[in-house]
Amino acid sequence: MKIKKLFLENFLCYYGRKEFVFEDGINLILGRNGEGKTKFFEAFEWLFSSSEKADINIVSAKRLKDIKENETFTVRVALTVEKFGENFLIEKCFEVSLKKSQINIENFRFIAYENKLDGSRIPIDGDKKLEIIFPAKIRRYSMFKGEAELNIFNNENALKELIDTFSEVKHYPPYINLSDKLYSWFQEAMDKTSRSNEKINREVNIIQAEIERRALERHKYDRLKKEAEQELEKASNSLSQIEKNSERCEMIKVLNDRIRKKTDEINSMKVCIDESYTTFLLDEKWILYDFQPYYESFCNKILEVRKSKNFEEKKHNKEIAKKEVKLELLNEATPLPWFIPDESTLKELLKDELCKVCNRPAPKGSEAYSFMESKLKEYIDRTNQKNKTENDYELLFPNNYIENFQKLQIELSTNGINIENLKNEIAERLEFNRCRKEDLKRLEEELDKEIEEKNRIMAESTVHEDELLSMHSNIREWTLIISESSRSIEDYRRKIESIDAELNEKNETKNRKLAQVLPGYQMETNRILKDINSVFTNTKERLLSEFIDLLEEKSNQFISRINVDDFTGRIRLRRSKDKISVLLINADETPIYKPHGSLEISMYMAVLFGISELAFETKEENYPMIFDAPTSSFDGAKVQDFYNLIYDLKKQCIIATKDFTIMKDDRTPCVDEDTIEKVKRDKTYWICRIRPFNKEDLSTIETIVEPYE
Amino acid sequence: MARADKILKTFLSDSIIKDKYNVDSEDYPTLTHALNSDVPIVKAIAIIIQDVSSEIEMNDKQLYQKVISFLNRTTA
Repeated sequence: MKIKKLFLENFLCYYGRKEFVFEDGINLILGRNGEGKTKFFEAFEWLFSSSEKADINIVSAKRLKDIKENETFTVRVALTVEKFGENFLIEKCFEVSLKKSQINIENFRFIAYENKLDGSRIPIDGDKKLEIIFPAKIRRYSMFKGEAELNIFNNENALKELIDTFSEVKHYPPYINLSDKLYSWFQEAMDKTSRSNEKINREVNIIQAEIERRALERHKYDRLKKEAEQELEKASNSLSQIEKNSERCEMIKVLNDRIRKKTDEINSMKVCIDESYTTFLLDEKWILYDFQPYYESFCNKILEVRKSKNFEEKKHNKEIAKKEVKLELLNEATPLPWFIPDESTLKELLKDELCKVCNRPAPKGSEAYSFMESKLKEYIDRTNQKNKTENDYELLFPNNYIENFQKLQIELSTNGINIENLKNEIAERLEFNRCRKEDLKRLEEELDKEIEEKNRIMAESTVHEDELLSMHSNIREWTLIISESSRSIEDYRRKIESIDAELNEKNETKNRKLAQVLPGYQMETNRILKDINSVFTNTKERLLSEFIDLLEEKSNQFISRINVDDFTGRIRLRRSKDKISVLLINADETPIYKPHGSLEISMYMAVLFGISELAFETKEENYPMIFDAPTSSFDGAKVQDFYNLIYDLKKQCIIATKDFTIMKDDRTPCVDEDTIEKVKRDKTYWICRIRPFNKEDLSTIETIVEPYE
Repeated sequence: MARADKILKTFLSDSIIKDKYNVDSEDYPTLTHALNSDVPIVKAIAIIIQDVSSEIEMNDKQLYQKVISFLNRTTA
């Protein structure tokens, strides 16, 4: 059987109609995490599941958002397969409509089409046809999501399923049951016959009673042994799960720690970045960034005005011939305003008889002393000016506007506004914010990587994170259970062996007694029936061992091909009663403790390929294999070997993987052309989400599908 | 080869049949050959296989009667 084509319509992230055409060989679906690989795999799962029907959760969110009133669209997964040269179409679909603002799901169909000789197609039940074309039992060994599912033996019924699917052993249990019955009924018949002889009958009855008592005892120990075995298996599985996850657990702990630290750093960084620029304009006086030239111009203007004022005042004074004494400065320089220095300063200068401006003595009677006295007088006069009547004299500039401006000038120059510092401060703050933003971007990228790494690790885990992190606390408990269960099993085994030996002896004794009263032919019939019973049981056991040996041999052929030039060990399939497990062993037959990730996955894959060959031999048909991310733990070179091996198998494999993909500097994904070129393949598709999309809005997600040549 | 013949072959290849009854499985290529055997255990096994693989299966008690009666008769 070959899968020729997969058609998706409005299925999850596959908005609109998308199509994959497959070759009979290796088909790669390349895409980074989250681009639609798993949804691709889930399309197969949905189609193949007879229980899954129409479901709003599998409808493309983007298509659902686009729907208009009274509109109807189809959600469909269709598969074209070829079996024995004939093509079949199997499709599962339903319709979604919007009526009166209500979303409706209707017309679910799961049908297959058979081609008639006249070229027409007739629809038939999809589920039934699928079971004929690609039986569920085969699919069990053909489809695997992630690495965790590759261990098919991690399932209680694994051996039975394997046998039922691929081995003739499944036909033998009815023979064993039948021969058990025949032998047991004949034993009862012999007992009845023996009752005709009272003495022998009594002796046989005593032996029989003892046999039954011991058989009950054996049954009890057998039950206890089974319970202990179950306990042991449960504890071993848990411990093995812990061992298997210990590395993962440590990695998650480290990553959680790093993520926490990075998040803290990011939060601190965000606090550092203060971009309240509007507030800074006024509160921090940033608005004065370009104030200096205006201030200088303002000072110059004040000076000019003061000069003009003095000139005008002098002229005015002369003109009105004021009586007041006017002191003139040397060189006709513009005098200081009347309020500089102020009254208290002038009084202090006079008291100290010292000019503290030029630091020269000004003793009473000196010219300097007189000058200061006249300044003080002028100051007092001016301040008392209000009290003077207008008739005293007329002032040219009665409102002191110019003085007010000069006061403002002094205030601005002495009020701590350092314009140069302000410029530096603004520049520094902007630079600081820019640098912190760069740091923040870097930290967020690092955090994204850590989260991505953590998600990748958790995607491979079969247990939830909380469970994973708490597993280690139970190690001691499981170890104790293993030790106690092993001791109990050994104890019960010895008791059962001892009872079996006793039962054999008692049966022999009973048969000897019976032989004294029973005809020889009946004893011979009894012997033959017992031998038939043994032959049937032995044959089933022998065939089962042969089947497991064959699977082991085929698996070992594959593991050496997957791991060319590398250490592999040998695969050993170990059977215990009705269970089977797989492990790797050294040349000296000792088990390899905790094989590393890729070796363990190689082991599981080798078994799967072995089973696939068995399927071909028993069913005389090849079935495709579909994998989602089977090689997450492989490194670069091994990945290539692995795909090249599958290519050489000439077997149809459809593999969704992120191998051979990279992220570009702008964080968009693309195919790594250098590595993909080294891989032999029959068909390759590239899938990725259309960018940009809203991280928080599923309805912006659409995966595109492109053949990669 | 029919499944019944294959099953017969696997039973007759068992060491008990070979060593204790000196039977060579090659002497019985089909179920029909085994049903005509002179060796009681071979024929008894063939009767059981014939019953299990037959579309018209008799009940277990009927089969028991058939096998026991055959064995008692031939071993008498």
